[in-house]
Amino acid sequence: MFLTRRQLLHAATCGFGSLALMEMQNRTLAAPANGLSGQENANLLAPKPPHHSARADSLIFLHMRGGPSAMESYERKPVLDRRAEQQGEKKGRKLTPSHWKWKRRGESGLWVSDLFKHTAAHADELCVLSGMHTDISNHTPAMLQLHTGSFTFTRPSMGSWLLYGLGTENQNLPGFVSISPPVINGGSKNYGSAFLPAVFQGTAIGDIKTPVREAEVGNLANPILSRKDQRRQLDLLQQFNADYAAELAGETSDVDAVIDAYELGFRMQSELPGVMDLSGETQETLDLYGIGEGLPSDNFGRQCLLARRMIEAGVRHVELCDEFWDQHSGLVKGHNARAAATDKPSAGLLTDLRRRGLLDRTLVLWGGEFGRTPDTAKKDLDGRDHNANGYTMWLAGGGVRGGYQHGATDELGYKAVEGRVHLHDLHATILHLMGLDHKRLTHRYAGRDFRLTDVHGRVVDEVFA
Amino acid sequence: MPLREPARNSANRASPQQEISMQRLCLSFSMLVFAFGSGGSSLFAQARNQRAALELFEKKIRPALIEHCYECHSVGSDDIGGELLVDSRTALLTGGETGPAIVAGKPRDSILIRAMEYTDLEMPPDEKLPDSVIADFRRWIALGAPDPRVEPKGTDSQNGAAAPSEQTKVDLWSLQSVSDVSPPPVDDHRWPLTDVDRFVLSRLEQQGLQPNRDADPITLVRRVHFDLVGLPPSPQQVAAFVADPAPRHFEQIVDRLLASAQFGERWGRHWLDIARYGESAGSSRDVLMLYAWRYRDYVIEAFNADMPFDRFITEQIAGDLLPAATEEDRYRQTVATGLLAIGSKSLNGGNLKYDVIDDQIDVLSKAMLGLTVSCARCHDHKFDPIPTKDYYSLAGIFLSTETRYGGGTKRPKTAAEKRDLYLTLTGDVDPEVAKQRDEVAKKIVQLEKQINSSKKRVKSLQSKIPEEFHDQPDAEIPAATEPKLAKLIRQYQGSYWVLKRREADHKATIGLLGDEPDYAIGVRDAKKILDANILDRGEQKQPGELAERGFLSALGDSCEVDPIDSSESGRRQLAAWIVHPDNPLTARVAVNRIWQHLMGKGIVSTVDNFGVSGVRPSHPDLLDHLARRFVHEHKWSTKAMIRELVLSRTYRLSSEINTDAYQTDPDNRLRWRMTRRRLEAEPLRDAMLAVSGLLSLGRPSGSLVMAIGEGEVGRNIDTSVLDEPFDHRSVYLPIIRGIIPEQLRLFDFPEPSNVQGARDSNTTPTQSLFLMNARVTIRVAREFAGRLLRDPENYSDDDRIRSAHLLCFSTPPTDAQIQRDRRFIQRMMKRNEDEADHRRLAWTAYCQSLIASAKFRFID
Repeated sequence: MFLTRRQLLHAATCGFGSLALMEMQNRTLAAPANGLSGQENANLLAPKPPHHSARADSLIFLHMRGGPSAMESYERKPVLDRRAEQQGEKKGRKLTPSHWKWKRRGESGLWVSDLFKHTAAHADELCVLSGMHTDISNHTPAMLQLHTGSFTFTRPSMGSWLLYGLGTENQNLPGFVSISPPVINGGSKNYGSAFLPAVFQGTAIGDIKTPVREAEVGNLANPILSRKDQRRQLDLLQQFNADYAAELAGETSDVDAVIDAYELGFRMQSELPGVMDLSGETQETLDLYGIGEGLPSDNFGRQCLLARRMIEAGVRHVELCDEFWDQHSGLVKGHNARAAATDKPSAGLLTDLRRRGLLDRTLVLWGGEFGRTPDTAKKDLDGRDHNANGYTMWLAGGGVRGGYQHGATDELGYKAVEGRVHLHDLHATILHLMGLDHKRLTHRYAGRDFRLTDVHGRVVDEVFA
Repeated sequence: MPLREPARNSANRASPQQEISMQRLCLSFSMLVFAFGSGGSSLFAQARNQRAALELFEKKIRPALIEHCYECHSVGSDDIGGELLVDSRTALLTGGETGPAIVAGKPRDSILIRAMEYTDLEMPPDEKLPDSVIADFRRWIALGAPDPRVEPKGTDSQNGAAAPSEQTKVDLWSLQSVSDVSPPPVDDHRWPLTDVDRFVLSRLEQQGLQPNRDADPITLVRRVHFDLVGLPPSPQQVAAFVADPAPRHFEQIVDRLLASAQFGERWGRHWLDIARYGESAGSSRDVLMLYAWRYRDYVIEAFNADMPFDRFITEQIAGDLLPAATEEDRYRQTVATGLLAIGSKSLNGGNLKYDVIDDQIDVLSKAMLGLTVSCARCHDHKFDPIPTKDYYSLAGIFLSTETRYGGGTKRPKTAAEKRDLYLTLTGDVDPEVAKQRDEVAKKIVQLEKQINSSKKRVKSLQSKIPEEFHDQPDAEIPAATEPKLAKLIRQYQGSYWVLKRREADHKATIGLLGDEPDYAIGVRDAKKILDANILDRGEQKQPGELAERGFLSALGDSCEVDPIDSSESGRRQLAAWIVHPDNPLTARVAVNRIWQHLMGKGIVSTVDNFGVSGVRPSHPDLLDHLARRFVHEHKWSTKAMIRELVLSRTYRLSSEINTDAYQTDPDNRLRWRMTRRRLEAEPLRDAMLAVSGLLSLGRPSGSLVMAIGEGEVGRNIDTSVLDEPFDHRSVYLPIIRGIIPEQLRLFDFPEPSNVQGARDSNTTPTQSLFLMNARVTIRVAREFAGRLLRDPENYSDDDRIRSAHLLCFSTPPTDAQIQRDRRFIQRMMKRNEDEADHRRLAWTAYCQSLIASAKFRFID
């Protein structure tokens, strides 16, 4: 739906029965007396046509922070298992076998370990990228690169680029939401807009330390006025604005923008809490996502369900974040705990999106900022270190080829050797699936045109359905 | 047909004919390669092709454009169709509403062709052009669309017959020396007050435009207050000027504002934007930089003292190397070098040393020279005459400089550690003394631990004994006391004494500590003075030849300075080179920034980019005139420059719309009116605090970052102090890069990691929600209401309403408005009459809508 500012204002004011607002609306609707159109204050977030026809309209990123292990999940390494305890690439490091059982899944026969039993049931939806690689293996810079393409300079995040290129469908909700983002590891830079206008920055809901059921979006309710009184207050405020616009006689676009922004804000504060309220969901749905008091999957389950509700309501991009997959030691226990928290919810999300007919137009991305090494310096072989040279992420839904594994690391898992996909390539591919050409999605700043992929990026069309 | 315009708000967009398009420059570049880069045998063939293409343009294309397109698509058109111009190559490549009109080399991707073919658009609208003409255009575009036409200047070259001289690297306008231009003659001799006005009026008259009338006194006095000090005028100040709006009175007001301590807080903040001021490392590990605020205060003081701008620049680059007459001077000059240390840095990953140098080169070149020199880190600058070698000549200067910005990811604990990480400004920096201090400090920490455990024990014992013994360490224990209890009481009394003793010890030990030295962040010359190797593609692994330390070769020898000795970094010479009176960039860039802050938009609208990819000046002669006056007349005095501009007639123009002028020049490029502006985040917040009476005008000591202490956001620090009310001016809010204060962040505060001399001005629903719901907004509104209700001058609600309007808008309300506002308040009170303080509540709601209104936020 493409509403003009005026239609929006009209929609906003009808039903409140405020005479003054009607007057104001008449003023806005009437052609300016001097025949000037004024500088139309374009709504930067209005939906924009893509560069080419899109395969997906929205994106959900299940961010497995800390670096989950590929050889424990989606990339089976029989040679590694056989060579367990032998010396790895470097002295003092021993090869570590996979700690979980492997099975072929679905009709496609993709290998998925028992670590992700629930997600494994969706093997035929998954497009597993096992040739991923990135430039740096420290958490924070890698996470910044994952989100913004750059780990040294402050650049707009992928979600900001998506909003910049596509706008968003529902003007009453933020277009880009980051649920439970980490405070460290670059913090808000991971959903920041850098030199893009601030309107494109992500809206954070809570943070990683706060269970999402307690998380709040800031400034959504007036702490002293009832909703009705606030509407009356807003009516008065809009009269001040209308008075001012009348004084200006002619070019009122700046003031019109303020008037619109208040109506949008007012509607956003009504709509967002509704989207965040899970009480209307059935028990069956809650169970599907693993939501329940005391369950390990409760928190991430809620995140996933929120993501579905937001995508359903027209949010362009939602990112979820799980706690740390960074097991240098205690890998079995740690990865089991992380899987207990995220596996069922992730699978539930795929099921729910599929049965609601949303998965075809929603791209789901799963993974961390890098993966883990095939070896360890620990004696008990129960740990792995950071590996940026080869790791796995997966895509599902929105126009990607299901039941398909693209790329591979070497027989041990040190380095991507086949179907290599650099993070820049992944960004280019995601933009492409969303209808944007990563080379044309540019913004002029400080004398040059910037892109999410800078001067890199190749669209990996092998993954298209 | 893609109708997307991936730019921002149309109001912020430079019109196509002003932009020198990047595509065009890439094209010239690729044409060079095309012509000369592809091997010997075909070289001549290529050049021949090029000549043939130009011939084609002259014979077929140019006449067709003039005949069929210029009526609606040239600078001389009355109404430019689709915002598309076709009268210069830049314009064609930049395009209009539907994107670039042509894509050189790709006729099929060129909208122009598709429109001529009547595929999506139909142009020219009357009749389709003959197929042969369309074929000519196709061939011409396929040949790279060579086009000798430069941008027409105004209307004087609208027939497209401009001289075929390309804007090339060598004749970049901003590198030409500043010319001495006399003010042009004007027809209307009565209007101009100053030479500035003559420059402005002359351009307007050329276009047949008239300047607006002067703004009314209320608008003018409000404007000048916000512009000079960032605060609204008091109702009394407004009334006084309305009573006597004579020019002399206005001059007095300007002088008062320039002399006030609030001036530096407003104009210092402008500088902090381009100094990418921040108080933490930002980027990957957001480690706090505890002493960055000293640089902030330095900047504010420099503006208040009207330090000559050349001196200001020099101190920031090389203050530590300059002679200092007094200890105070030395202190200040050291702090000044903070500019080079406050940048954002990636402490975890990347190439820290060279990234810091890059940041230093970036800030100096953009902030002071308006050039994007850091583009040349990996390759010769694509557009500007800046070879990679120049970059590494500058890099050598900073490679020979030691940058001290405090802690990395490891927190400094002892005085010795701090001495290694910071610059020490005061006190004895003798290592022996520092060692003693550290021992004392250790003892203090130990005592604090002991005191804590003592406190716990006392508390726990106290809970087990009768109340009469609490805090009575000397009380006698009656003999009849049950032995077990008596024992507890004795233990309690013993512990109590231990606690007291330790507390006394602690106090005494702290006395031994003496004053901690003042630390700062900044730079000093490194022990090793080096030239830098040119790094191919910026890769440290591939060091190339050495680049002798020096400056930008594009300026040639025009600014002669002392040679750089092998024993010094060269920062002193670099500073002297930048502020050399013959440096064509520094003064132009500086006066352009001043102009922007007063007039809403720079004469060069890309204020940080005076390179080829920047926008050309709207009034080149005026810019040069101001630059010369700044250096030679005003001796680099910022205040004198501001005063001159503010006292011009141009500054006094009303911001209202004049239909004729608007149609010719909607962007107000020629300055027929004052540009209406939105208050930036800081003056908006300050004005809210000011009208509510909460504003504390004194300077807070240091920064809240000091109260948080050494550490890293999200890891090991307690930032709860940031949530407490802070009523100082916004320039003093802590700028922790990962936690920008909400009210700044939501209102287009610039990303503090980047040099950004021009702020965005977006209007968003999240701003609305902040003004509708945020606790800080409600607090301000409540205080404002309290102020109105308390004020003994207010006898009635009508008085209060009048007073509220005057405080917020500087204008009195009409009778109808008073009536309406009163009705709102009365009804709000009635609806909430069950609430104890319903009167305050109603007034709070009222006051909030005033400060949230558009009128409060805009300067006309």
